Amino acid sequence: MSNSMKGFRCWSARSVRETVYSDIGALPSGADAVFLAAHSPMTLAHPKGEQQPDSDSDERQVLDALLSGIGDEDRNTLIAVTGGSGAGKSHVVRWVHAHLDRADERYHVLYVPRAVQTIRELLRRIVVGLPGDGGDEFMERIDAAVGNTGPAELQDRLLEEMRFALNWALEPQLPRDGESEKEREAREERNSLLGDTDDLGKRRNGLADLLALPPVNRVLLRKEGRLHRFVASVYEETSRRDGEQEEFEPEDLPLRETGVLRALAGNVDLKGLWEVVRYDPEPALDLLDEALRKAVPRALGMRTSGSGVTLDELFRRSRQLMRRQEKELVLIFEDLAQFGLIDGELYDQFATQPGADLAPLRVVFAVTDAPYNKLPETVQTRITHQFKIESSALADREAFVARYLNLVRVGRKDVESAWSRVQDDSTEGWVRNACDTREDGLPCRVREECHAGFGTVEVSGLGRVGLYPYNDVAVRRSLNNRGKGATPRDILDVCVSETLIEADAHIGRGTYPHDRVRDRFDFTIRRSKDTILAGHVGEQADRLFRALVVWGDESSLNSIVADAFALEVPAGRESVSPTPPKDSPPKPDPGEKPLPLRSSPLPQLFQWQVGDRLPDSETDLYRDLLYRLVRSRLDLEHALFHTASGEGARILNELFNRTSFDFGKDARGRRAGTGKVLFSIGRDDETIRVLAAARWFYDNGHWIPENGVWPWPEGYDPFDLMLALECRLDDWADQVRTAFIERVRGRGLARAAVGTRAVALIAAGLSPASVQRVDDIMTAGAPASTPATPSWAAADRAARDILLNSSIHDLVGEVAGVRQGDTGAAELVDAVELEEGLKQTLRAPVVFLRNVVEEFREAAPVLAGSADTLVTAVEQAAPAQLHEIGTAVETLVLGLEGQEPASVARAAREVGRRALESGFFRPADGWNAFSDALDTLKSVPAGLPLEQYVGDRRHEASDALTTQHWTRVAVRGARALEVIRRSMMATRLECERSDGVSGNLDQQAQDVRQKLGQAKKHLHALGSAEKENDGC
Amino acid sequence: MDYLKGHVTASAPALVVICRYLAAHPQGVEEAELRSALQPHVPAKSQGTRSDGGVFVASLRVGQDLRIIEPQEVSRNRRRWAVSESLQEAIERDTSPGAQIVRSLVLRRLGARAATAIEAGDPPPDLGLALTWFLMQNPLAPFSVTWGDGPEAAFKDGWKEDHPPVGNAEQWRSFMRWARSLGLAVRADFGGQKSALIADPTRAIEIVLGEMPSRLLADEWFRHLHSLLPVLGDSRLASVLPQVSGSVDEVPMPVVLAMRKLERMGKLKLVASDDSSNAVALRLARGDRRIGEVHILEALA
Repeated sequence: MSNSMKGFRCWSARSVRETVYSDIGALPSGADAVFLAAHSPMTLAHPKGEQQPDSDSDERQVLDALLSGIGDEDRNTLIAVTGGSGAGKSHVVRWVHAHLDRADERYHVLYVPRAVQTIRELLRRIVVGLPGDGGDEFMERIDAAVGNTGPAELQDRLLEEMRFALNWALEPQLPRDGESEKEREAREERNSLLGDTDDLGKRRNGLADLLALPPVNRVLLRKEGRLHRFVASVYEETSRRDGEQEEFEPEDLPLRETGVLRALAGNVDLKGLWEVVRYDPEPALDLLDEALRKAVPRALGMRTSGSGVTLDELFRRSRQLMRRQEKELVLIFEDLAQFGLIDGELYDQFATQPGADLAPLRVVFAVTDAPYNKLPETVQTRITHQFKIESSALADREAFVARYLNLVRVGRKDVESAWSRVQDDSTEGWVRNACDTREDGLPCRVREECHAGFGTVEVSGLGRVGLYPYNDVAVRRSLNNRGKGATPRDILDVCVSETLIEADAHIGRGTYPHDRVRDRFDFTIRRSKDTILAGHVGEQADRLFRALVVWGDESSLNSIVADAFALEVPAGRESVSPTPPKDSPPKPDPGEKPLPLRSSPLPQLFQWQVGDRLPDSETDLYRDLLYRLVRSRLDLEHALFHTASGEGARILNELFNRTSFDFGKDARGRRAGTGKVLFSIGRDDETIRVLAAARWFYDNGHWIPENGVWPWPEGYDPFDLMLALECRLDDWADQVRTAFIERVRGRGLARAAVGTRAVALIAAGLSPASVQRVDDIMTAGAPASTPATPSWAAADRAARDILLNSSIHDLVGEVAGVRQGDTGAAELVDAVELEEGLKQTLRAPVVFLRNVVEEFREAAPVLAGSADTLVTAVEQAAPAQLHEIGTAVETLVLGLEGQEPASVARAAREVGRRALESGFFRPADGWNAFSDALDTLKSVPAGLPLEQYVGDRRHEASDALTTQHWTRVAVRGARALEVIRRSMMATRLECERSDGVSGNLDQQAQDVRQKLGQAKKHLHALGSAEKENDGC
Repeated sequence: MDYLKGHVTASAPALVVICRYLAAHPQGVEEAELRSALQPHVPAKSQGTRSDGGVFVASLRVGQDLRIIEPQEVSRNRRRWAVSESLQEAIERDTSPGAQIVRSLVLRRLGARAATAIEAGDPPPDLGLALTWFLMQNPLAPFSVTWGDGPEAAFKDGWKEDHPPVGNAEQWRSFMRWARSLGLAVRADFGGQKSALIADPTRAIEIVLGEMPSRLLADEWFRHLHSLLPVLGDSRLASVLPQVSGSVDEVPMPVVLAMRKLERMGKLKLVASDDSSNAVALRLARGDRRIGEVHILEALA
């Protein structure tokens, strides 16, 4: 019976913390065993120095180079191990230290690990490590300088020492042989910044004087400044890794502060210097670094003006003692950069050659490439060997990880014990293989299952090391996730430390692989989540998905892996590959060369599903293709809505466009606003399936996997994809269709267009009876009827504007027309709906217009705006128009006395003509006006509903509108009748006056008198009316 | 009577417009008046200039052939038209802009007309034949909307020596209009000006669900469906078609697609069955299923 691995762990978070140190600086100096137990051999180039015969290419050659120098009393040996940050330089140096024979009488070893963090500790380590006396006094002075001084005071003292160095200690540089032009300029710039030397030898108007200015002083001493950071490193342990070189920066000078210039007012020379510094601060910053290097030993008490012991003195004494003891001094520094501001003392020693009283130095130090290149010339020229890390411990990445997996399983205590038992300089074979020895020297009880399920790696010196909790896929994905340029430190931090610590907790709780696994491993997927899960749902689905990706490479999960992670995997789960559809497409012509397949665009989509951001171009593309696919199946034209152009297209576009597809907050572009159709595109399995389907169909135009322009997405079935897309497109199209129809209110917009034209025709003077058919309304133009009266002019204008507006006219064909001919014009319209709407319009035209304004303000702004203009004009004109009509009707009713206008006009013309011939017509010059009025009256049709209008006293705006076809004639007729009546009145008065003055006139022809008598009746009536109106 | 070849401008939307107007005027409408009412935009001069009399006349003739519209002789030169009395109420009731019920009636009449003609030994309308054939094609490989980009070859290959029901680009456009209007196909526009016509009768079937029994054995269900919509694979129509891939007894693939879509939309339940004698195989790509019963979950209003 096989053993279950459920919840099994062969490491603990504690064992990881005790054994895995990605930063060698954090590894205690006594922890060689831990360090060596997982050390992977590295390849080093040897660009400088003599190569030792039979030397390997790994770190052993450094040891060989060091040892080969032992015994050479005339020369120091300086060995630099260089490489990039995190490449493993310190590991090499530490390895060398670990393999030095401590019992060798020929040398004394001073080892300074990177773990030393403060300058005090560094100095103490040197002092303690150097043989000879004087160290106590030296350290007492350091402790006094640092211990009796607060950080602020030390910082200020440093600044003063810097000023002192600038004024006195730093010497002007002299020209060098072979100095380049650039070097000459830099040298002269530096010397110029030092200032001018006065009679006493002190410098004036140089950088030291600038440092004394309060604004400059304040910025240099600010928190987070260079001086502040250095002082902090004196007192506290601060994290520092190689490559982090401390220097003064532009922010350490008040380059943008105007206060400096004010402070320099009156000092032209210093002001000029400040301008130079502001223009190019780099030379000044370099000089400040130089000054600080001088200032630190003095401020820390390492150098005294008196006779106290200095670091240089301590080294000399040690070397002298060693010489006397016929020993050599071996210095091993894991990181040269940690000497920072006191490296000058060290470099002096490197440059001091051995002699009769001084023992030789054998120095091995690690340094990153950039600082190595900046080493002083005095050191550079004395480097004996340079070893450069060429390929790191990651040459065999699986083995690198496996060594650490074994280390965390064995534990610190065990490896330290094993290392202590090692008698020779063996590099391999002293660490036990945990898989083979876990159970009191016997193999781990789950070794067989574990190795079968998770796999192993063959590691030199260890044998087969189980990969648990990794397997080969997981290791690959873990390492890939760190990128191509990953350093061993990167790998250890994440792939070993963090992953194992988290795995310990989560495997124990049965919650592994947890969500953060996605960040720990390369989570690139080629298939969608649902195809990877193959329908598996439930509370384990997410864990299973992560396991399938990271451990199963998206296909299947080993049952042992599943058991260890407490996952239930559906039996028989295998990757799905598409099967060709029943109807295979025509085979391609054998003569045709198949086009190479493009790479699938879907992985970006699948990555988006699991949390990555979808590239903007992809988001745009999906929006575009979804829009096109939905748009093409709206089929609104079958419901007689033309949306290819014109108003229909505008309305649809406002409602539904590419922004309707919302890919979430992190997607580029705006999303459709309120009132628009909006489809939320989520990262759920179904939507991913739809998007994958849409992309395939859009790019290929079919569902035949073999005929695609890119590979069919693994795990998907063509029909399933098609079904998913079809259903979603149908649903989306339904929503858009419904929204569109709501927006245009079914046939409402067409009815509104027809109705508005009908009302406009009526307002322009056409009778309601003549606009009863859609046909009439759509073909009629603005009527050339009697001009509107002034009070109706605005309404008439608004009505005619509507009738001339082709967009309103065309609207009917666009939202209620069958358009399928070659011209694209409407062939037929859905007249039933329109006629029914027209009836309602004509029943209450003003209410109808108001409804059009309300209902189509957004959907059809031109129509609604025109309707608004018309109904507003109608309502504004109505009171005056109704009054005008009322007056006119009254005038006509009273004036015509039931006679037809034409007959009254005829009679009046006869009377007027005779009066004119008799010379009685008055006003004497009014005949033309009288005649025109007669013509107008004559044109007034008989049968106007005057009596009816008078009888109905409740007139409203709609009455002013619907009576336009006759009231504008009536008003003109009434005005004409008024002109006639006034003329007749004046003429009658003239006749009566003439009757008394000129009796001869009574001799006029009898027939004329008779005619006058006939007309008199009317004239009397008209005259009476005038009097009444005048209040006479 | 051939619709595509003889009345290529006829269309379902035009037929709907005509039917609706006539249904609102049950006493009938004279042709001139009908034309005037429905063609307010078209100048009199340009009406009916085509050889087939334009959209109006062509659709009127098709409606007449389908017995949806009936002529009433007024005088020798004047005709009055009315919708078939049996359809008048249904047409008048469907006031939705899409008039799906009316379009469904047209589809049903079209299928029935074709089946009847075949039974009588007469040639069925080309449109009925073309739709039936189209609905037996593989929807996984849709047709291009461009006549020369596949459809032409497909029709010619299908009918060999005989004249295919769709013979040129204009008839193909007309066919596509009919297919989409009658709920038998959808269009898909892709990039690069390419478009496809997918055989998908989902909409057509969805509309008639209200008239289908809510539960039925699978084979009976399809027989019932064919009686309503013969173009979906009625044996009489299928028998006069050229050989298509698969057995004529199989449910056509577009119909399978529609059934599965309706199932997914929650309108149908397809009850699986392996051994029932009434079972029907729904075959399409890998998604083969045998169903024994069909349940309607959501009856259409």
